[in-house]
Amino acid sequence: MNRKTDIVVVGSGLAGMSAALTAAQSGKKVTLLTHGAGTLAISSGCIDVLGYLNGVRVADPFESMATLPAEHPYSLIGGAETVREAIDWLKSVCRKGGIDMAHAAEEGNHTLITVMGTLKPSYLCPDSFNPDCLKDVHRAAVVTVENMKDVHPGLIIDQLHRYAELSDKEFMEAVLPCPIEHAHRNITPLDIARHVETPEGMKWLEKSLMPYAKLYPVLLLPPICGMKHSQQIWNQLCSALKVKIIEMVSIPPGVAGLRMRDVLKKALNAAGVYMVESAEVVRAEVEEGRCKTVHTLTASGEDAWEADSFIIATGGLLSGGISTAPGKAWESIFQLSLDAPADTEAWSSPDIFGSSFFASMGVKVNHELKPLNGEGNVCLDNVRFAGRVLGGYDFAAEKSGNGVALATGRYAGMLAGKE
Amino acid sequence: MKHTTVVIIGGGATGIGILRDLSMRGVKAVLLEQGGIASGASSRFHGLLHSGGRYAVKDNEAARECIEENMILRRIGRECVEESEGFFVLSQQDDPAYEKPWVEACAKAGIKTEPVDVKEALRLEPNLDPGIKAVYRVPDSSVDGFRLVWHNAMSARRYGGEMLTHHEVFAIDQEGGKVKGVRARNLVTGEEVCISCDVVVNAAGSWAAKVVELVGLEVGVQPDRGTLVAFNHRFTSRVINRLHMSSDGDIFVPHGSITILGTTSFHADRPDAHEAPTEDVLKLLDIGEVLIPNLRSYRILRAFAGTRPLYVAKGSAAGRAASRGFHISDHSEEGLDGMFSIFGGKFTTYRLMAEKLCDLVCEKLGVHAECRTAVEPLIADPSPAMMEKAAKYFPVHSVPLVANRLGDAFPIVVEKAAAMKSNPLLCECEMVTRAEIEYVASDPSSHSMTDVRLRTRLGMGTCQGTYCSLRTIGALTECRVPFPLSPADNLRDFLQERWKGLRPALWGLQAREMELGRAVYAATLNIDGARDEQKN
Amino acid sequence: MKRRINPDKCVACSTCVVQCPVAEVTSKFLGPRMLGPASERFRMLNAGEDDSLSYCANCKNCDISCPQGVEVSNINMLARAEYCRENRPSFRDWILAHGELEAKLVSYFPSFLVNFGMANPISKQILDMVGVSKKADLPKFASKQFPAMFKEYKQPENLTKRVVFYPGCFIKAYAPQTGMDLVWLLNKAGYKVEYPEVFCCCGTPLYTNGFEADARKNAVKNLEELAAWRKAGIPVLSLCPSCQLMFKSEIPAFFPDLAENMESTALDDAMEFILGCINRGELDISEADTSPLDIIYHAPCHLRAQGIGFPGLDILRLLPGVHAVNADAGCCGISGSYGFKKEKYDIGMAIGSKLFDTIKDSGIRQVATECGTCKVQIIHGTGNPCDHPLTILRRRLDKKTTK
Repeated sequence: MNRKTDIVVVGSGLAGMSAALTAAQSGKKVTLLTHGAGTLAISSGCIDVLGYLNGVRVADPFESMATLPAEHPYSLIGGAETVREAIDWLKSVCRKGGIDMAHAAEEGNHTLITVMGTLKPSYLCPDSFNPDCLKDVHRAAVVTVENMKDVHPGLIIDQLHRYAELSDKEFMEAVLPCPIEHAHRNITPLDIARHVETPEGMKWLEKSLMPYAKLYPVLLLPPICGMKHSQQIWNQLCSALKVKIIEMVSIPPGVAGLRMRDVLKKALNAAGVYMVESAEVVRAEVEEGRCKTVHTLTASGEDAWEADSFIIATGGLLSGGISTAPGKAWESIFQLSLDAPADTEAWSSPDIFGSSFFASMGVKVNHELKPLNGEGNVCLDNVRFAGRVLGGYDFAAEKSGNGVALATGRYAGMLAGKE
Repeated sequence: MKHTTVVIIGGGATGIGILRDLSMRGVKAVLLEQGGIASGASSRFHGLLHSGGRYAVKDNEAARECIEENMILRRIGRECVEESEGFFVLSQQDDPAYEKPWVEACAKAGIKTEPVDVKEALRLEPNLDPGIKAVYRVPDSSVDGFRLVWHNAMSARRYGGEMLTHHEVFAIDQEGGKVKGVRARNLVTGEEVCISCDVVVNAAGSWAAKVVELVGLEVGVQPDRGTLVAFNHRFTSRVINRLHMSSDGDIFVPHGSITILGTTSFHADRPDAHEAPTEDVLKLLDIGEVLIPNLRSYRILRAFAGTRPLYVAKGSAAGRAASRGFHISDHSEEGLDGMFSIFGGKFTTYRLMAEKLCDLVCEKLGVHAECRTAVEPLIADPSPAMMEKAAKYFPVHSVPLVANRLGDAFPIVVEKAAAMKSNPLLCECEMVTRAEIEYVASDPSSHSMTDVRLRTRLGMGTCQGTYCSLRTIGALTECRVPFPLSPADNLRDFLQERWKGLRPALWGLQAREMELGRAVYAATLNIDGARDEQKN
Repeated sequence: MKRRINPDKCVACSTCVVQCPVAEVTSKFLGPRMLGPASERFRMLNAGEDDSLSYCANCKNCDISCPQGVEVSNINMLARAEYCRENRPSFRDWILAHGELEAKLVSYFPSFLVNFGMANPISKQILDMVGVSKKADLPKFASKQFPAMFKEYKQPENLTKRVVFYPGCFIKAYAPQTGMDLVWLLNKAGYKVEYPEVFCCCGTPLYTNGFEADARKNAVKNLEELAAWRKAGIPVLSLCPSCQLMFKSEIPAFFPDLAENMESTALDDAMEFILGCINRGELDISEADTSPLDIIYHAPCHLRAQGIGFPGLDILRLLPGVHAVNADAGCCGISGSYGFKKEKYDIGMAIGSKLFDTIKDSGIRQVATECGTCKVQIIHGTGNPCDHPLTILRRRLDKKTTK
């Protein structure tokens, strides 16, 4: 098989989906090849833009962008202006798909509440995660569901009280009875969120929260307020119970990430993007500095996918966009070397959260996101990279993962769409 | 001031074995351990219950000890031994001239060897190199060192033996050439304890030299670093040895869900040289590939190292060439009455070492009770009814594992699980449930999540703590288990400990896992940023 | 020797748990990761099997969603086969697994009798008692099955190029006309079609219901025949995504020794082949009916798992007048025989509800899908007409067929 299209995007995380949707919206024929469902589905579903710079908390991510090093993806694509545009675009896509995304009330980041009871700076979150209302109250209930092993109010309260700004607040533990009987497996927030999506689940949640709503003006919940209709469900609960509900950021499965992925996937289908699953791109045909085709592996051989330009959003170490072996690291499709030190121990810091080489290991690109060779020249003229496959930033330490994925994906899609 | 008859220093296999033996003979004893139970070499080796085949040619006496003890441990420690048997395999690189003398030496030591047709061996172990030239079956087995030590401890407790973990001995008091007592510091609370006694036994393994330094003496113990690699799944059914003069990286030992490849032998400058360098890992892979050609495609979970307390008599060989035999010093010969040191030896012969030492101690104390450690099982088998009951509250794959792990505590934990509304799996990779974790965490010897990990295998599987550590700290905070560290610090320490094992093999599949861990703990939960923002 | 799949690639990211349609609708299922790679690490200890293994529908959404390339569903299927070696599957599962044999038996009786016999309330009650849901619409046997129909059909004589058709059980017994539509199209494109009767059930229903030995026997027979045609350089085409997947990736996973000597055990995809015919100009679609037709297309999970895109949808989109949208609403819930089982029927319907709603909300009547049992489920869940894309293609091309 050999199919031809205008643009091939590889990867269906936030970067790949943003790139594909942007390119399709500019009128291009887009094929999206994906091996697996990407990491958006298991992520928090909030857009962390920039929370820390060199270990120091930033007040305003956009102001701080100006001080980032030149090789940081944000710097390469034009800084704050480009990133803001991408965020506005995502907000409109999500709004159409039924999720309202909220900025912090004041300039700068939200401090989201996690199921660990830690606070995390993030720029944009679904309304239901917006923690602003906690500032104005003294009392809140921390809610979990019986048997939900990822969420323990005792831990959350212990941890929240360790923050100066929350130390004088009164928190109460609340455990809702589990609405799913005879569960053979352990219950996660996703199970409850799906249950709440049904009419009886919604009724259960409203009824179970009622007694706490009478006592506390704010309720902190795991992300359980429905799936497809989460916005409506959250609105309805808040108004029926006359409280503010804050959903907490949870570990995989992150629920809100899946909500956002479903919205984006629907938008892609509506925009005519041809999405091929189970399609692992294993190599590419390159001629005179241009990629002709990328090749997916199938049980009966290889399929070639031809396009005018390519956007590679295959992720990093976790998703396989970056491959590693002792003393070696390379980009997985084009085998671009990532200049890793031969001594593997030099890749990482002895402190698990210290600054490590591997954390910002990735493809070096120019301001158009095209890859550069060792001499600093563009080596593939019709290929762009987006998301974690890029080097020059540490998504985990900076809290910039979804921000970089969104902004570089959108930017790559715009540039390719204009060609 | 506390009184006892014997103070044992060191909570590894030997020390705990001595505690059990003495307690069974009716001698009052207290054991002091600076870390957790079996936190040194007893849990930092490949977990091979030697048939003795490995030593047959070089040290026939040690080989005979191995096979005898091997058979005893299968009887008394059934819950800790997987009766998996072993292969000695002559690879394409091994000298065929070694085969005949090896078979003869095994026979001499009483080790049963049985030639296996190469084709049949490959059928039984399909991951072996098809080019192997000869295979022998021997009674090797895998043993869970950590568990075996714990089961000894449980048995010792039943006989009144006492253990104080996280207690570092800082002084041994003497009077008129005779030991009088021991002073130690509780490393968790900072409190000092004083114990008066008649006899002090130094069973501190690689730390033995440091202990005798307290009384101004010297012993010939040389810590020797052995690096090991744990793989994510079990790819052999039995223990696999190379049929050659024992060397680095030539043993694969399957344990439950994982396989361990070991070991290296390097001079260590300190007894706690537990960091495994990448260099060692790569060396092990190179050597291991000779027997298992696909080795590099398997995922390394972690690399770790332990230090063997090799006994080096003055002027004799060190490292791989040093004797694996053990040695007992009665320090009265050097003018200090009531003090004994035991060092060298192997895990497989820990019981025999304990027996010999206790014979000497008892002789000194005038106690005539016989040693019974070889005949009495460490723990009683769980009843079939209890196993059936457990199946209701634990995942089906995990019931035998939980029963074996917990030993005496199994019925208690089953009852606990039955009384709970649900018993969620907090560690899905190693199938550890909340009831077990809560029970172990509330044991006085547990001071951190790492202590819980060692006893339960929490966080030792595929995800290396990514999911279970949040769940565990949540559950333990909820049921108010009093750990000295704050929950976030406890979690960070736990992850840092895991990190130590991941770093030396940070590539391929394990690098993917590591990035997932960072995505969860740094990117999603911000426990790195929270370090400076929370009061701890 | 026990077949094992190395579970090392699993990083426990939980993506498969999120995307598993069965886990989504029932908490009775332990979930793909726990039963698959997580339990696989312990299976060598022979500590027993979790009861909920039978809840895996083998729909492959775990494999499709896994970013690490873990063969989750195959691990589960191997474990089930192993379990069934010791524990015989139920009579009900035998019935559902051996549809081919039953089809052969009923072919000797008039179909209206058989179908009445199956569909009347008394038979439904009996089926229900052995564990086939009486709420399910079992597919109806065709009045004439494919082998008979093919035998009677006269292909044009001047055809020089040849292809082989592997119909699979569903087309053979329940939807022979779909097979004949393909024959018609291939003839029109200049190909003579061979149908070797030795080809038998691909083994999917056998293996997923725990009849490993029977599945193996079939694989031996099928591969032998496939190899002969391959040697002759003649493509062997299949219309059924599940049969294709079985040949392509499950046979090599379940019976690696059988696949060892063949470069590829895959059948050729009939939709890709027809698409090729159109692209090469062998099949002229310029004369096709141009009346407007809206179609909503459902991609079967077993097609999505193949990573080849949607050649059936591509064909529909080439047709003038046709506006085809992709429903993109996940699994239909039937998974072969899964949704017919009494204890699984409600699960299957709950899984399919998203798809049913999407179809209803689209306002489009005509549904298209390649898979036979997906089609049964879609008709059962929506009441809309549902056809194979090639049936629709033939309708648009064949002046003789009535719309």
